[in-house]
Amino acid sequence: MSLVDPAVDPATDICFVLEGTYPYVRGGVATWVHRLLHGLPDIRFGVVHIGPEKSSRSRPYYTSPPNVTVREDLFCREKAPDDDDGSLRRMARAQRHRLAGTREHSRVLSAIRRLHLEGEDEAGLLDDFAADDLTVEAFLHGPEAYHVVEELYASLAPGCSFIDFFWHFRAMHLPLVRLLSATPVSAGAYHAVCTGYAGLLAAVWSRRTGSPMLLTEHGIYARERRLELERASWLERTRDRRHTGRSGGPFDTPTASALRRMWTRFFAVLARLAYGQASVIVSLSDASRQRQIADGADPARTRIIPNGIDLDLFPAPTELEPKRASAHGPIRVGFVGRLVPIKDVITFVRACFLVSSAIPLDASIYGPTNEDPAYVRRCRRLVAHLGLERVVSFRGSAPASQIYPGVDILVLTSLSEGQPLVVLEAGAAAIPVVVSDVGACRELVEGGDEPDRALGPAGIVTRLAAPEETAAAILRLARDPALREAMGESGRRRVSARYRESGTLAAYHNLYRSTAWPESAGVSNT
Amino acid sequence: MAGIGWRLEHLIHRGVAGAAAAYATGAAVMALPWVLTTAVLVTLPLLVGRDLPGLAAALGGVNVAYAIALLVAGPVQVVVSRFAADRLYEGRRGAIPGPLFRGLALALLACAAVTAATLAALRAPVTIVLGASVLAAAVGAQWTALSAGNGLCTPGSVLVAVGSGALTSFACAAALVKVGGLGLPGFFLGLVAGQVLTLALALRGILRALPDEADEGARLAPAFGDYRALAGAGLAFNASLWVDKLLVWRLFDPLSASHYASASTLAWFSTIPCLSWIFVEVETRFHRRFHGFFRALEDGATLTDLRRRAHGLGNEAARLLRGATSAQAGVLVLLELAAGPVARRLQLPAEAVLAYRILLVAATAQAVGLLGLILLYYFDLRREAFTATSGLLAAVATLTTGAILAGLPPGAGTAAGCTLGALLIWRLVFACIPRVLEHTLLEQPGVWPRRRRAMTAGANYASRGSTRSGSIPYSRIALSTESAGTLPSSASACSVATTMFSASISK
Amino acid sequence: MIAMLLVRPRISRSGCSGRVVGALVLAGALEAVAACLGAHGLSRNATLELASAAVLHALAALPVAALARRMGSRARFGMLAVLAIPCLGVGIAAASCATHGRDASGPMRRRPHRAAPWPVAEAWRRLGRAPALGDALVGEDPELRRAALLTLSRRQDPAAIALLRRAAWGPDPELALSAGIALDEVGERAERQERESQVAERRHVAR
Repeated sequence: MSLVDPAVDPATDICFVLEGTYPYVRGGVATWVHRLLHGLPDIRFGVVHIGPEKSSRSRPYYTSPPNVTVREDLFCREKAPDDDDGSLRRMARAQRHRLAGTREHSRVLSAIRRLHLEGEDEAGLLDDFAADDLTVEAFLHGPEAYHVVEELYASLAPGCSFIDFFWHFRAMHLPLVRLLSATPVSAGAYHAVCTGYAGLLAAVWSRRTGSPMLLTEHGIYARERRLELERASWLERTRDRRHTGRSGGPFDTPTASALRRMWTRFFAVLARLAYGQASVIVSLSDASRQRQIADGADPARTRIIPNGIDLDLFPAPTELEPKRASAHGPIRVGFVGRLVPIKDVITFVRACFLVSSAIPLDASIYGPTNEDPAYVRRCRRLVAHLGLERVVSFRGSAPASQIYPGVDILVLTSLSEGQPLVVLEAGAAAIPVVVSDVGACRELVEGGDEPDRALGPAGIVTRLAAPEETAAAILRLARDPALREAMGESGRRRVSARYRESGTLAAYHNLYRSTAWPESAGVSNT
Repeated sequence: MAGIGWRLEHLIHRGVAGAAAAYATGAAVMALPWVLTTAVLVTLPLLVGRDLPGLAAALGGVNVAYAIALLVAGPVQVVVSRFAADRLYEGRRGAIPGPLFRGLALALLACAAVTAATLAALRAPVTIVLGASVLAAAVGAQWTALSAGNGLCTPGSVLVAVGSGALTSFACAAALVKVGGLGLPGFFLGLVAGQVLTLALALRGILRALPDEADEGARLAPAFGDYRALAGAGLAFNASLWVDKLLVWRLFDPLSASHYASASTLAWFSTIPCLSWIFVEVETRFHRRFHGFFRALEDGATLTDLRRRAHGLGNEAARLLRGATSAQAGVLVLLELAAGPVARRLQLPAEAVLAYRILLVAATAQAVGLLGLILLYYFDLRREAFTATSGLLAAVATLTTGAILAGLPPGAGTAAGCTLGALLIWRLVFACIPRVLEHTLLEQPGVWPRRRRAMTAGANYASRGSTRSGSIPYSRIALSTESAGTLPSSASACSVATTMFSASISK
Repeated sequence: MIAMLLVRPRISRSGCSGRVVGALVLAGALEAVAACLGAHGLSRNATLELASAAVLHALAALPVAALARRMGSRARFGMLAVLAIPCLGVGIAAASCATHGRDASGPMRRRPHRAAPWPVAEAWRRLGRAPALGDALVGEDPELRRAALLTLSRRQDPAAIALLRRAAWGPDPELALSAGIALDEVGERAERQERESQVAERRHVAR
């Protein structure tokens, strides 16, 4: 089945279903979506964004091109009022009474139940989720929903705090129920850029409308959530913890443990449902693809389409040469990324401290600082504490054209990455990189397969959270201009050969326009 | 009634004397206000002299004033007392004074205006219109203050306020009429002086329990919407207590109505031991279990534990029913046996004795029904309370009318109506209490105000970019015990009106 | 008077200040004069006396109404009581305006939570089966792994940091990330402790 079906005239060709990203949040995924929208002007796009609640919606960072014909915002929660005037309780009470006599069986509720208790029959689950027979009111105040809570509690968390289970059950499924009640955007195909709530919504819409679904994952959503859940402090604030009178030991309370398992399983099943419905599952690197397969993706439907860079936006190395550091000036090191803990800027600052004690250094940190102000304060404090105010400067966000001409070495100390665009950008600008060994970084720097490796290393890969290794790598590059030049050139050659934006766009264009979608795609039994 | 349960238990554990003191406290709290008021209103005409010109009309005006205060201020009382109890539970005492004073002002104005309009329509003399309107204003505001005060002051201070007021009314009215020679204006001024004293003492007690600084932005109007079912239930229960007297007054001659009202008043006195028992048991053992259930829920009990506790609450309700029925049945048997001698001593006519015997049964059903209603209030089952009391009112009105039309004693219809109503109330109690957990949780809103967001961990996985530790609070639980105090005070007010009927009509 | 009543303070305050007492005394005096006029009469013109008494009665409400700016609904209710209940309403106004609150703290004191026993049996059962921290880090049980990471990140000794580094440099990307974050936390805690000790030292020197 080709995407363009002459018998159907949907509002859009491709409807992106996005969660917490474009156009409201800047970052790798948002940039990727933006470039795709601009790069494929002959395709009509729809953009559906899922956000937490209406009040949290900020001004869009990106302006959509004219080929975006549908823009829609969906929200997981209602806006919370500032004060309690009793109307909420009044409404809740009225709804409880209204629904008290209802005994209708809801397929969506049945799916929620099976999601936790069985969860193997993905197609059947999706059909039930697509049934659209559960209102938010019935979920919150209906007796059938309550009985599902009791049943799940008995199976998943017996002996735990019931009230905690109840609230977590609501918090987990209310966004789901709210999103499932949204009317599907008419589209030739749905393209989710993660699993989770967005992936499930795309899968359900695909099931309901019969349009196929495509899934691209930059990071592996379910695993990211699992890691987050492992560290989530809010999970520890269960009632049984509260009356122990302790601040918390290394072990979870039974309730926290059960809830953590429940949340983890929830996201894992959502991922499996999205994988099951998606006709094509795209990842950026082979490592990510292997994880998708391990999480339930059908290997036959997976493919790798790496990120790409528009080389025209980056000057050729010969043009850059005069701007590069002189042999006697300080070496200019750049860090490009959001200032958040996952990017481990602290390790970069510590590495700068070690380097600056050996050679003159001029370090710049580029990236938005508004996401985690406490972390930014911590970074600034560390810079001050180490006496690096004259060495390390925070420059905020800047366009690539202003960043790379002033950088001799790009450093990326992230604790987690998919396929970082900044490494590709540095490669395009012929700048050697020092990167931590996460995600597809090693593949980008040293090459994936044999012909790729033959292009030579584009930088040095270090271990995570190891400032002394990062500093040693910077020093090695700083003291050897020839090595810098060679690595920069390798990077540019690699990007030119394998990571061109035109290649990425062509791959998606082919996928959208000419891929033969499996016959099973988008078949709904509802 | 902060701490009253603990004090009662402390007394009971002291032995027989302590238990007697506890039950005496219960009797005083539940019955003393209306017993004292009844005593004042019955004995005052004897003291000031029946020959005082216009006294009969003045007592009629007093009747109207009390009846209107009962009806008009009743819903305001329920709303204000529940509002105060809920804010108390939330720990927002500063939000109480503003709405409380607005509620008092509403009760005061409405009672005065409606009484004045009614008496003017009945072509009463100006002195009686003015006197009764002022009395209604004072009584309406006083009952509203006392209903809120039940939750904020100690029972002792409420009783002192009521006792002082009753004595002052009695003494002032007698002095102003007999010594001052002020006639009817003095009679009204004396009555009002006592009510004003009670109101002032109640206000003093309430305000001493509240902070000096009050949030004037707190609104009462939404509470009328929020608690409308409770207000309706209170009104319907009050109306069910005297609708039969109204029907008898309307369909019989005044003398029969007077006898019926007197018999009803005497019969209602039979509930004092039962009400005392209800007060002590509800405030001690039941209250402990009730709070234990919700405390366990908030403290993270397991579902099995919560089910066991809910089952225990059902058992406790059954025990209360058995106990109240037994206590009332015992009194009923004694009074039925003593009815003849008592009637002879009070020189009551035969028809009043028959009505008294039948109305003793009705009073039993009313007391048992009242207990069920208190439990429905406890569990915040507003709609059920409204349904039950509406059913009670309809049953009493219909069956009393039916009995009168069928030539049966009206009390028989009333007793049958009260019994049916009590059965309906208890059916709802036993249907709802085992499902208290389900009802409580299903009545939690899906979203909570930001101000309240801090109690229970929830989760927010709405957006990859914003995985915050959102928190969804577990709400306040069902109502606190204090607001249940509203009903007995309404019932006592009703009894006062009943007494007034008997006192004025018979003379 | 209407303007006085329309004033609606955000926070009202009660109290027996001189102004409140003065207003109540004035209202009481006016009411007393009105009562004397109404009850006994000072002249032969009864209609004029009644009219004067009514005017004085209405005027008695004014001083109480003037308190509305500070006392909000208390004063408004007091004024209504003065108007609706001749002579005696001043007593209600006095009770509502001049009573001091005892409890100025606001929130009700809640019962402290009883300390329920720590799930000791469960903890000991797990601890009894638990391998060494290093093995727990690379083991299959996610809860043990989590507990090991948490324990190591709190220990802050060289051995713990070495174990965390080994985990961060291992082949499992998820464990590496968790260990990386744990190392970051160790660093943050050390920075905070150092900052606090510096502040304490500066205070000590200043003394």
